[in-house]
Amino acid sequence: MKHPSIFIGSFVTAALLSGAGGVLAGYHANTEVSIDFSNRLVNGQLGSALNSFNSPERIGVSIAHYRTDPPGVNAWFHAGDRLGNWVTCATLGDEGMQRIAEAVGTDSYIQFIWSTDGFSCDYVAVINTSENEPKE
Amino acid sequence: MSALRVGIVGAVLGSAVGIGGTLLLAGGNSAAPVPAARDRHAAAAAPSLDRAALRAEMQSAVRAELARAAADDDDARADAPDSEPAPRPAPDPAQEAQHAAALAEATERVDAGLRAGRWTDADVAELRRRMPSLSPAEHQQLLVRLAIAMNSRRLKVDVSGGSWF
Repeated sequence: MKHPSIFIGSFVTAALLSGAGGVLAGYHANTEVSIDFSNRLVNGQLGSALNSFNSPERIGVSIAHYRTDPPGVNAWFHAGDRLGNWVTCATLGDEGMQRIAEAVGTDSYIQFIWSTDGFSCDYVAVINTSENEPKE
Repeated sequence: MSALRVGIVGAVLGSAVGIGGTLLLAGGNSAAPVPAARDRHAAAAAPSLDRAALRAEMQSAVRAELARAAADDDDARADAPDSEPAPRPAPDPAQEAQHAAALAEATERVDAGLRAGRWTDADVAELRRRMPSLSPAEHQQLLVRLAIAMNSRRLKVDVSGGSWF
């Protein structure tokens, strides 16, 4: 039995982000976390989720790196909407999706689609643009 | 043919010749040493010598020795240190027990959460506590079970943090 050393390479969730004041300039979109169960599609912004006071909204990604041979890298995208629904999907070693997960920043807009298998990601996207609502 | 085998064959042949010599001597009905020339002459003249039987006996002895030598060679190759697979380290019983306990408890926690349809901060903490003792595959398998239930709205996540594991 090999006991792995597991390193959390990055752990980014809206709920854990500390608020940071900033000068607001230009257009800022406020996008609440939405979960479309029919299409297994999630949309949301980290900044908007964090700023949604009195709401359980959250969205983010957790990335883990297992010290195995070959190295096991996995990212879990997850989101919770204001109704209390939670959904998630795993990249399961897909290197392209892994790079997308690593691009998530504190004000990112995230989209993902979970697969019909019920847990793996079919699609992940990270949008880092100026109109993303920054955390306050 | 290896030198060892050549040596063995030589020894067998020598032994068989010795047998033949004995037979020759026996055929000559004399226990006294016989000069070589006389020996050859006596052998040729001895009516009781069965050359075919002698040849068959020699061939049989050679074949038996060759077969035994081949078997010895196979045993030697099998016993050679460089042909043995690398020895596996003996499992640490204490570590194995710790792993088994962690897997059982983590699995039970997940099972209980799925039965209840609810995943709480206490469940997250317990899974995190057990995770270092689990293999990556075991850990991922538990998360996948939770994910499938979550995405099908059979598991309500009721955690204060931003992650469900």
